[in-house]
Amino acid sequence: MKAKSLYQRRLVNFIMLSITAGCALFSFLVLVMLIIALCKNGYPALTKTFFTALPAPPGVDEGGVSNALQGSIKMILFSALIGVPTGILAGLYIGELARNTRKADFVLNACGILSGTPTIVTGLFVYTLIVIPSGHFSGFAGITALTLIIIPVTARITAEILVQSSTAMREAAFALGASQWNVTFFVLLRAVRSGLASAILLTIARISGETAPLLFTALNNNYEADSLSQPTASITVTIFQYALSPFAERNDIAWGAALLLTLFILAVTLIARYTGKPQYLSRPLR
Amino acid sequence: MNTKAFDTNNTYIEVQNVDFFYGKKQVLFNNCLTHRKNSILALIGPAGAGKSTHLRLYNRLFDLHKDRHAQGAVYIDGINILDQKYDLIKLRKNVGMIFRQPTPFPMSIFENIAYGIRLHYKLTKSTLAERVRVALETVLLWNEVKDRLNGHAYKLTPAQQQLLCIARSIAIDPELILMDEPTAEIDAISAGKLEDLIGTLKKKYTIIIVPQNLQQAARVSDFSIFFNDGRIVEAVPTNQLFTNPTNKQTEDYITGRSV
Amino acid sequence: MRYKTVHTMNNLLTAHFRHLSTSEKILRILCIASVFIIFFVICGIISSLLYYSAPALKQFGLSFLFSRSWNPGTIQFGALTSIYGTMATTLIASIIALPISIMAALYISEFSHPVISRFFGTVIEILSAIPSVIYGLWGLFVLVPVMSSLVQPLLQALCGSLPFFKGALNGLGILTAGIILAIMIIPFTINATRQILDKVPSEIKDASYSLGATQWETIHALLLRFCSPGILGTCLLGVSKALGEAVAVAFVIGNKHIISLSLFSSGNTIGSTLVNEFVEAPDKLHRSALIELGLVLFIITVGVHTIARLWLRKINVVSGVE
Ligand SMILES: Nc1ncnc2c1ncn2[C@@H]1O[C@H](COP(=O)(O)OP(=O)(O)O)[C@@H](O)[C@H]1O
Ligand SMILES: [Mg+2]
Repeated sequence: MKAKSLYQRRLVNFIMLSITAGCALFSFLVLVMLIIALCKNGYPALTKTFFTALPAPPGVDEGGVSNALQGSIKMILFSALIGVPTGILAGLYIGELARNTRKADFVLNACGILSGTPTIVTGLFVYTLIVIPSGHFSGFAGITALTLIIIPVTARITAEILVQSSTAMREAAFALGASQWNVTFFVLLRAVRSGLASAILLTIARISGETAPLLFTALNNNYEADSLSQPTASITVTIFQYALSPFAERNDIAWGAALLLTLFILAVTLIARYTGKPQYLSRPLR
Repeated sequence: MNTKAFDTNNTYIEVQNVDFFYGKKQVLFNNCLTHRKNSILALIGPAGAGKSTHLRLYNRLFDLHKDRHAQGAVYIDGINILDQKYDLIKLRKNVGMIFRQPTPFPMSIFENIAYGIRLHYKLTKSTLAERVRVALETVLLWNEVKDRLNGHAYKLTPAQQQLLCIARSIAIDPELILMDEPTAEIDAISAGKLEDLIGTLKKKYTIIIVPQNLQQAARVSDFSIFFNDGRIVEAVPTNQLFTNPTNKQTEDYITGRSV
Repeated sequence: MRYKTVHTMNNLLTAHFRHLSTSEKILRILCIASVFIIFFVICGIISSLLYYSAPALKQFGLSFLFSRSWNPGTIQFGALTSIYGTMATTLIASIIALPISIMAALYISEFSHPVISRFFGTVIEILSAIPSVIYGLWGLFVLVPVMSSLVQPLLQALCGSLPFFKGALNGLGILTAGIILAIMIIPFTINATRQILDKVPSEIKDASYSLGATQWETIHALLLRFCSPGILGTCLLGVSKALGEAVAVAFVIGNKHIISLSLFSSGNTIGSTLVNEFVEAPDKLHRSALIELGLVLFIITVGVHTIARLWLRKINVVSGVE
């Protein structure tokens, strides 16, 4: 009977440790490089004109993205206002009203299909739904596309959180004779509100980076849109179009907009992370 | 009050002034005890007293978590295993551990036992099979599973799973076996059989057990340590613990009054 | 005293109940309406894509999928170049990203100090929130120059005799697109893999360590065995993400309707073709062909995603990972 060499076992362990650490470090360095590039190229572009001026004609230096900022804020805000409650309601159906039934399973699968749908396809759908009949691109179409992206994601998360939440609590509430309405809004949603809030913030962070669906629906606008029935500029589409533009000033603005967008998304993500789950370093022993 | 237990000539384990910390929170205070070879030591005391924590000193399982640390010394066979330079692989090969929840690995019965053996030895197929058989025979599981060694371990009953875990531990020739409430998750009849098995294991191994309850401590153990709030309150031969506990706290606990 | 409170609470709740039975109805109706929207969208996507791609379907039939000519001038449309590009970039991305992310997840979950693990975990979570348009921008202005001045010459010098590394070294092309996709899905797959790894009960890991296993032995002999079905599922999810990506690729792939064995050659994917041509497509048949491309993308991506999802659900029941 031969004992294995401890030295060899340790060596293999160390080699694998190094390889995996290298991979983790690589992923980390990519972020660092990305952030450095964003700051270096984007920061100089964030001047006062950047925030206040309208886009300048190509080749002119004095342009800004005020219209795109406004457009993005409007579209994200409205789509969240419509999409989040709708998604939560659908999630309530899956996780509470039809809990553990085949209907709930069916709806959950439908949400799964939608969250697997590339957002560019959702954009195409809204194009055929709104842009073709109305004959022009519009902020409304953009809002619709973003809303349709939010709904299935929010529904799935809500359902998941509800299913995980304690059944004892619901039963206790129902045993007191509480109505479904009461249990839902005063017991269930209240109990899961921090998890839900963080999930919703993450969803908002996600849609604020959507580009392709807006390209097909809200398109872009060199001016401030008077109403949402006109084509509406957004930060993401601006980044895309300006980055591919041959004019250096426009490339700079694209970097500035990218930095701004990243900062926004990082802020929202971090807030979501710290409102959400409590963090334990380790579990107590049993 | 901390007592140093049973002064014997053939000391196998000696714990000296051990403090233990989860992060900044101290849960073991100045633990001292000694224990001799081929006998069974029971750690008793109320929930949260630090029994499981204490038990995990002997194989330094707490080392998996970088936020935990112990101070003091734990001598096994005269060597301080809390010494940072002490080889963890060697230590854990020497100290088996059985958990409250049966922990079979998600593989076949044979593979479960072969897992530990393969970690430490290079064996031919037939010697490996032989060792697996001997281990299963020792825990009296061989007859039940010999026809389905390739069946999945999860298909066994919880009691059989626990026996499998014991077989897995003893297959790599430990000297000391730690058991943290090994019968807590299995039915009473099988628990009784497992207690009998523990009694026979003592011929070959030294055992430290956190029993499920006082009765079990009385049935299986030779010596008892009474814990409260991370301190060792009393250390006596088990038969004396019930007949004439010397300590008020121990007496209260044994008679069911709150400590 | 206690009885009293319960009693009054009961009264209150019963009063509510009577009062709220209509609101309960409203709740139900609202929920069902929201569910209806979800089905409306699925049916809408399928039917409207079918309806608007009908002209192209009629004109080209099945040969649409196998023709490699795409020429708005002569009104000839075939999807093969785009499908090829989508597959090729996704394949490259998977080859690069999946091993790296699994390894990195193993390090973060199993090897590293808890403080480092939390730090890396947070960083990776943040990375996965960064939108694809930003990866694309970074790719165009940072990665493309590196590719053209360093990576491509190096590859050509090392194995230039292979057909994969021929052509102009302008930094754009299939390989660059694949790398950008890889960088984009790495954080996602790391996160997902970590979730799978974290589901392994810590008792099982403790048991392995208490037998004297090293970390790698525990990972290799136990965790990977325990988790490989789940990791396979998350890898598939990552692949479906890469398949459906449009904008990041459009920045760096060069956007030409050609199929070339060379990874340095420009190409396109379904997504990038849509992004580049859809808004400007004046011709009805051109638009119809693009929408048919969208339909193809929908089918491929949702197919892979659904397989991954159902697989993950199935193994959660069987392997007891949950
Ligand atoms: N992972 C942990 N982190 C922090 N404190 C812990 C942890 N595990 C156990 N404790 C604390 O240590 C004390 C002893 O726990 P334990 O050893 O499990 O007691 P016992 O096994 O006697 O019930 C308890 O107060 C418990 O709350
Ligand atoms: Mg315990």
